[in-house]
Formats: sequence, C-alpha cells, structure tokens
Amino acid sequence: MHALSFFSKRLSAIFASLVAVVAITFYLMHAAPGNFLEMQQVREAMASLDSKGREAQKQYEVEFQKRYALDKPIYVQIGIYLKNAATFKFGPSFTNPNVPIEALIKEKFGTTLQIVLIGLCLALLIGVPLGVIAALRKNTVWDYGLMGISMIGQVIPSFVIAVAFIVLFSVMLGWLPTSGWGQCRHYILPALAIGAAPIATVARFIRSSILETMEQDYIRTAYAKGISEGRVIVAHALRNSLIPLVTVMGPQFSFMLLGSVLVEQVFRIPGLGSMFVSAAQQRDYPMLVTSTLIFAAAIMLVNLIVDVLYAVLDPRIKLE
Amino acid sequence: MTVASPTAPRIQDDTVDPLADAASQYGGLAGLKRDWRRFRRNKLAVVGLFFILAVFALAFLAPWVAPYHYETTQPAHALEGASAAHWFGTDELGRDMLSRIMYSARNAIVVSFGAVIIGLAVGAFVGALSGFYGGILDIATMRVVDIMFAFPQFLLLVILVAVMGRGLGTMFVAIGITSWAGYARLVRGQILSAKNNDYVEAARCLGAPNGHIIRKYILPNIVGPIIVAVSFGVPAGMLAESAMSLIGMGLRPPMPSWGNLISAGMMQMYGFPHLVVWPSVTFGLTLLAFTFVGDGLREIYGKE
Repeated sequence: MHALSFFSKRLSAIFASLVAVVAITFYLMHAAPGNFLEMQQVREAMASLDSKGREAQKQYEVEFQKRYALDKPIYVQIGIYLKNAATFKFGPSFTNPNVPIEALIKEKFGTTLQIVLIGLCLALLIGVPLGVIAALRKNTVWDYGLMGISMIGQVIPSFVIAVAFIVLFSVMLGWLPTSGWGQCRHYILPALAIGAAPIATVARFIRSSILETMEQDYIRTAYAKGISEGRVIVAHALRNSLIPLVTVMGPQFSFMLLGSVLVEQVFRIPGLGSMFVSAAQQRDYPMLVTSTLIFAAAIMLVNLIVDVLYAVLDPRIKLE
Repeated sequence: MTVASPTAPRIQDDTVDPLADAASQYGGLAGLKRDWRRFRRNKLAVVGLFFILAVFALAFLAPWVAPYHYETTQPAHALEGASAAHWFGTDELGRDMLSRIMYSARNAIVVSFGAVIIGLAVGAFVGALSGFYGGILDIATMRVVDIMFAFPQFLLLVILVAVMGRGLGTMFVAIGITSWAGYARLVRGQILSAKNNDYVEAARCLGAPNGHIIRKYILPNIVGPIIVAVSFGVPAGMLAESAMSLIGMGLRPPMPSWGNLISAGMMQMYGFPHLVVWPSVTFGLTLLAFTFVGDGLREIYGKE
C-alpha cells in the first residue's frame, strides 16, 4: 500500500498548506486598517441610498457584519469559512452580494484555465519541435538563434510580451483584437503571451536533454544499425526526453497560472486573475480569500498530479 | 592563499588566521581579481554588467541628468514623438518620457534593493540560526518556510499591499517579506554543508567560539551562492514592483514606474505607441542584462 500512504501524506500536506493560506489571508485582512464599508464609493452609495440618516446606516452596518460573520472572533470566521469551503460553498462576496462566489469562480476559473491550457499546449507543440531543431543543428546559426530567442522569451515577463504582441499584431498589423473575450481570435495573443516563457523553457530543456542522451550507448547502437540521424533523434533520443519533460511542465503550469493575473489585466480578460486583483483593490475580502485559495489549490494539485504522472510514466521512480 | 604555518594558528586574532584563509575561497583582493578574470570570459555577462552600470548611473543621477523632472508637465508639448528636446517623446500631459523612464529605473532599483536587503537579512538570519543550531528550532522554522513556499508569492504580495496600502515604502517591505523564505532555505542548506567541513571541525577543536566559526569559516563560503541569489533577486524585485504598478497596486502616480508607464501607455497605444514601447523596451533590456550577469556569476560561484 505504498501509493496509499503517499497519497494520504501528500493530500494532508496540501490540506494543511491550504488551511495555512486561508488563515494567513484572514489574519492579514483582519489586521488591515479600514474595511469595505469605509471605502469612498461604498460610503457615498450608502449616504445617497438612505434618507433616514445615520440610524439606518448603523443598522445596515450591523446587518452587514452579521451577514458575513464579521462580528465573530477571527478564528471562528476562519472555521466557518473552512467548513463551508469543504463543500465548495463560499457565500456571497461584498461587491456582488446576490451571487454566491462559487458561481463566479466556476465561470472565471474556466476562462483562466482555458488560456493556461492553450498556453501549455503551445509550449509542447512549439517548444518540442524547436528544441529538436536546435539539437539537430547543434552549434549552427539555427541553434544559436533559437536559443538566443528562447533566452529572451524566458527573461521578459509575460505582461511585457503581451504588450509587445498587442503593439505588433493589433496596433501595427491590425490582425487581432487588443482586448475582449468570447471569440476564437481573442484567445490567440493571450495564450501566446502566457505560453512564451514555457515554450522557451521546453525548447531549451528538449535541446539539452537530447544532446545529453546522444552520448548514450544505445544511441550509438541505433546509429550502428544504420538508422538515419533524424530517426535516431526522434525515435530514441526524444522519446527518452519526454518523460522528464513532465516534471518541467509542473512548475510551468503554476508559472502560467500566476502570470495569468497580469496577462488578463493587459488583455482585459474576465478571468480569475482579474477577479483576484479587483477583489484586492476593492477590499472584497470573501472574494480575495476564495480566489487565493483556488489559485493555491490548483497549483498544489497540479504538482501532485505531475509527481504521480512521472511515477506512472517511469517505473524506476518511486513515490515518496 | 597562504599556507598554514607550522605554529598553532591564533584563533582570537582576526587579522592572522591561516585556517580562515584556507577556508575562504572568495575573500580578499586576490580572490576578487581572480573572479573578475573568470567573469570576463563570459562576454554576454560583461555586456550585461556595463548595461546595468549605465542604468544605475542614469537612475541615481536622474535628479541632475534627467532633462526634466518626472512631474514637469508641458501641455503645449503633449503627446509628441521623438525630438531633440524629448528623445522618447512626451505623454498626454506633456511629461518627458525619457525623464520618466529614468525615474522609473531609480524607483525600481530602490524598491528591488530595499526588498533584497530585507529579504536577505531576515532569510539569512533565520536560515543561519536553523542551519547552525538545528534541532527543534530548525524543524519549526522550516515548517514556516514551507508555508511561505505554499503561498504563491505574487498573491501574497497583492494581499499584503491591499492590507498595507500602496506606495514606495510598502512596496519594498512587502516584496522583502514575500521573498525571505528562499534566502532562508539557501543559507540553511549552505551552512549545513559548510558545517560538516574538516576546517570547521579543526577550528572547533582549537576552541573557537560559535560566533567566530560562523564569521570566519562559514560565512565566507556561503557568500558565493548568496551573491548569485541576490543577482537574481534584484531583477525579480524589479519585476514584482512593475507588475504591482501595472495592476495599479504599486507606486502611487505621478511617481513613475515601468509598470504604470506601460499600463498608461496602453491607453494611448493606437495613436502614440512610443508611450508603451519605450518603457517596455528599456524594462526588458534591463531584466535581460541582469540575467546575463546572474548567469555569469553563477558560472563562477554556483555549486550544482
């Protein structure tokens, strides 16, 4: 029952981490000076709404606190939140009191996940061939050019790449829209911007991995059998590089998920990242905690999946 | 490097300590010269270093060499392209873009270095204590570090700024707070491996106190990896600052930052692309230069 103990260990670690993330977020928000009700717009809206003066305003504040359990001690608040979160219920947010957060999350996280997954596919579909080409043309202009570009792609942050793509493809060439969401053409630039660094990382990894594998004895055997170089690389060297590639993709996923926060801002995409940022700006605490929790949970689950996948693909690896 | 003298080394005297000299691979002028010779071989790193030095010079001298102050508006010259008076053009209020970019670099440097100093100070202190003393202290601090790693760094940064309010000061405190765990883990690991070296044992046998061992034998040996970590921490801090400014949670306008220049430039993208192109290009080149230097340093000091 090796796998079972592995899963129980990892899942309990993930659970403990998520509880810590929620607790830290709650305590930070608790320590913050000022709250949602004290914000300028909210104050103005309340002042214009009630004609009965301060009495009604006080009444509203009390009801607000009760509704969101803000009148209880903070550890009770955390406990209530965690209990509800276990059944994927997060209650209403401050800014949008009529819609439960889980409904918003489902929609927004779907959007973000779409961009990230397309970016992930691009990373594999573009990165792997580029890496193979660079390895095949080792120490030529092709190799240096591709590796130079991929170095730039790795270093320049995704939001700057997003801006560069918009200026190039939307403003100068007019091929694609600068922002908006819903149609196919809206996906292209965000996915490319978010996938740029992973594409570069995958290409560099595949190149160095193939070059390393080429030193192996079985590659010499394959050559000795008279197989062409292209076939040796694709069928023998590349195949062995694809398994460790799984471990490269795990960190890339969390990188892209967090990068989506900024890329969504640049392209004005209504995803989880945009929701997180506006929640932070508006001090919408239930929304802030929940979007943080979803991000953290997604990252941890993907890391777990990557470890399992690696062990499944490569029988020499033992789950620990 | 001096050869250990046959007489017993005088541990209490900080100036003459053959053991420490033998232990330190990086100290002294000779060490610096040798490191520079090795660094020089990597041409990209040298180019990057000179680029960074130029950026630093322009940033620090900005109040004197910038053609205008970053707040100086010239409505008559709003939204102009490049000219002799405004090399990078002007924005919608007629503010000189070159000056604003120079001040952006200045703010980015202040924030990122401030953040690295805070993160490194906290991280090195925690990591050194837990690595050197071990035991329950080590277990407890490493749990805290694990939690810090579980919390996505950028999200914690956004939450911290939402809590503390935006501005230059909170920027580097917040980035420092979110980055100490990495330094703590690094320093702890380095200390654990340095602690088991023979020269540390030799010093301990000769009766050297803990503080002396840490200062003279362990610190010099972990300086290299820390330099490498810092060389990557500074551009990471700049990136965090710009990202926060991009989403409107970084520096307060009118104080310029690469991030808020880019987000402001996006508004004028169609008619006046120079407003978004120049900040993006200068920011990208600066990050690239830091990476070249970081890679060069890693070749010298890095341990795999």
